[in-house]
This record gives sequence, structure tokens and C-alpha cells, in this order.
Amino acid sequence: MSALVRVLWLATMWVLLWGDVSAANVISGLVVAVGVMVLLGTLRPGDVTFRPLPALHFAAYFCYKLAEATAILAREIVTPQNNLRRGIVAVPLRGCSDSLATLIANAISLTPGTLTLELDVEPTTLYVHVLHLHDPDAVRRDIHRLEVLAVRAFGSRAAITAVEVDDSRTVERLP
Amino acid sequence: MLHVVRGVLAIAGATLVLLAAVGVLRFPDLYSRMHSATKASVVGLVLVAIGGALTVEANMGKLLLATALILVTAPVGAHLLGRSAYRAERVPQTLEAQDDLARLLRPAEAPGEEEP
Amino acid sequence: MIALAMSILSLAGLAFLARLVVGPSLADRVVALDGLVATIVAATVLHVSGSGSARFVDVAVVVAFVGFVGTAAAARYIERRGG
Repeated sequence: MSALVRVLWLATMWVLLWGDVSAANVISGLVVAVGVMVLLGTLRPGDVTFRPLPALHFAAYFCYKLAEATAILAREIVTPQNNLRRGIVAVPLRGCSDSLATLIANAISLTPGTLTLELDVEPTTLYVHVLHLHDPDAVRRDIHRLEVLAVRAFGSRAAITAVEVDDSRTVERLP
Repeated sequence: MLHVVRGVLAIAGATLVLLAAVGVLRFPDLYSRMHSATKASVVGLVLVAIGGALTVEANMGKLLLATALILVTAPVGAHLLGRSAYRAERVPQTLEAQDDLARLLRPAEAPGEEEP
Repeated sequence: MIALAMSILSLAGLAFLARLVVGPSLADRVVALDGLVATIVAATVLHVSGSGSARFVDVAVVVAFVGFVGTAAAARYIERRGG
């Protein structure tokens, strides 16, 4: 995400913490945000693309998955029998920048039955712990769907082509 | 009327947090407990926060900020914990199905087949 | 109704405490603490919305922050020392 978005986000948090939106708060928030980022050396240029309609789609899908995860988990906790089949699945992510991979990794931890354990960088692979693992390819397809939605909402054009080319092929197993 | 909605949301959210706690007690191993603590308690908190935001005008910003913070940091915390617990020696691994991560981190003792 | 929700939350807190005491490894205890953080924030939000006094909202924010930092630090420790 670009430096401007980060500065705005930090300043917003500052203003929220102070509680009321006055000129002094906003200005001091911007000053503190820029100062922090300069001090930490994180003024890295990067492209932030935000397409409102796909972002809304992603947010709606995410909220639906979150609700479904909670319902499934609630039923699972209450029922007495224990039919867990736990495993760790490797999921390749194609064409994602690092921050987008982080967003997807976080979103996966809040979807039904999955929890991100490891994010490997070269090639970008996600290792996901699953509670009921009966078909690893189904898990990879689900996560790929999430990835496509996220890339359509926040990724660059190159990422979109990379992801959608793979979308037409079937998901392959890892060698 | 709004107070009734808030009360219902509060009870629903609190029940979810209670379910998360019961799950953390009942599940047999660390990773499943993390599933429960991350997903269920965060959603319970979100429900409570939505109910609270309906009737508190002045400090809604801070309430929503605290909720957004937990929504973002809980999965990251679970990820960090799971990652280090996998590498630590004393945490037992009980996985019935495949373990792809073993090939990455412990190639010496990884299981041979990947078929579930 | 808020009182009922509060009592449910305190039961949840007790359950997390039980895991905190029992949990065989340090990671289990940190998971219990994570749940406790969520419980504390929920209880604070309930109190603020129920009593109308907005004094404790800052507590919720700070507890959320510090809880996360503590979890991250404990994760680093577990990786190095095991268990």
C-alpha cells in the first residue's frame, strides 16, 4: 500500500483515539504519522489500487464466510462427537504482491475450518491448517476463489492476468 | 426499541464468546483451540460492538477502532503462535491427514506420500 | 439484558482461565490469553453501552494493542525456547 494511504490511516487512528475531530487533532495526527513513517523508514512506494465494486464483493464474501465459519464452529463445539481430521495443506498463490498475500492469509484465518500457519515467499505459498480435511484440492479451490476476489479488488493489472489465467486451468497438485 | 436490539446482540455476542471459551477447553490440540479462539470470540466481539455502536453516539469511533484492531490482529497473532509452535520441539503434532508443511521445514522426517 | 450478557462473559472468562491453568504447553496458555483479551474488550464495550459512561473505552483499545504485542512476543519466545 502506498505511503499516502498509510499516512492517512495512521492519522485517522490518531484522531479516533483523541476522540474528536478538531483541526488541531487532524494536523497533529498528520504530523505524527509522517514523522513515524520517516523514522521507521517505511516510506516505500507501491501501487495501491482500489476498485470499489470488486472490493465490495470481496467484503461481502468475506463477511458471509465469517458468519459461516462461526456457525460451523459453534455447532462443532456443542456436539459431543469428535470427528476431526486435521491436516496442513500447501496452497500456491499466483501473482500476488506481498501485502495482498498478507491480506489473503489473514482472511483465510477467519474462514470456515482454516487457519494460516506459514507464508513462504519464493514461490508464494500458503500453508493452511484445516480442521476437516477430506479433499485438499477443494481447500485449494476455495482459497483460490478468495484470492481471485481479492486480486480483482486490490491487485495490479499484472496480478489479475496472472490469477485469471490460472483460473481457467484446473488446480494442480504440487509436485 | 434500539435498546432491545442492542440487548439481543449483546447476549448473542456473549454466547459466542462463551462458545469460543468452551471450544478452547474441549478441543484436543493447540491448532484447533486456535481456530476456536480466533474465529468465534472475534465474531462474538463484533456482535457486541455492533450492538454497542447502536446506542453510544459520542465514542463510537473508539469502540469501532478497538473492534477493528482485534479483527485484524487476532488472525495475525494466531498465525505467529501456530508458526512458532510448529517449529518448537515440545508441542505435540496430532494430524490425521497430510502435512505439507513437513516437506518445507523438516525434510528429513517428512512422510513419504501426499495422498490423503 | 446487559447484566445477563455480562454474566455470560464472565463464564467465558472463567473457561479461558481454566485453559490458562491447565493448558499443557505455553502456547495453549497464550491462546487462552488471546481469548481473555477478546472477552475483556467485549465486557468493556458492554459496560460502556450499558451505563452510558464512556470512561473505559480507552481501556478496550489499550488492552487490544497490548494483548496482541504480548502474543507476538510470546510466539518469539516459544520459537526459541520450545513448549
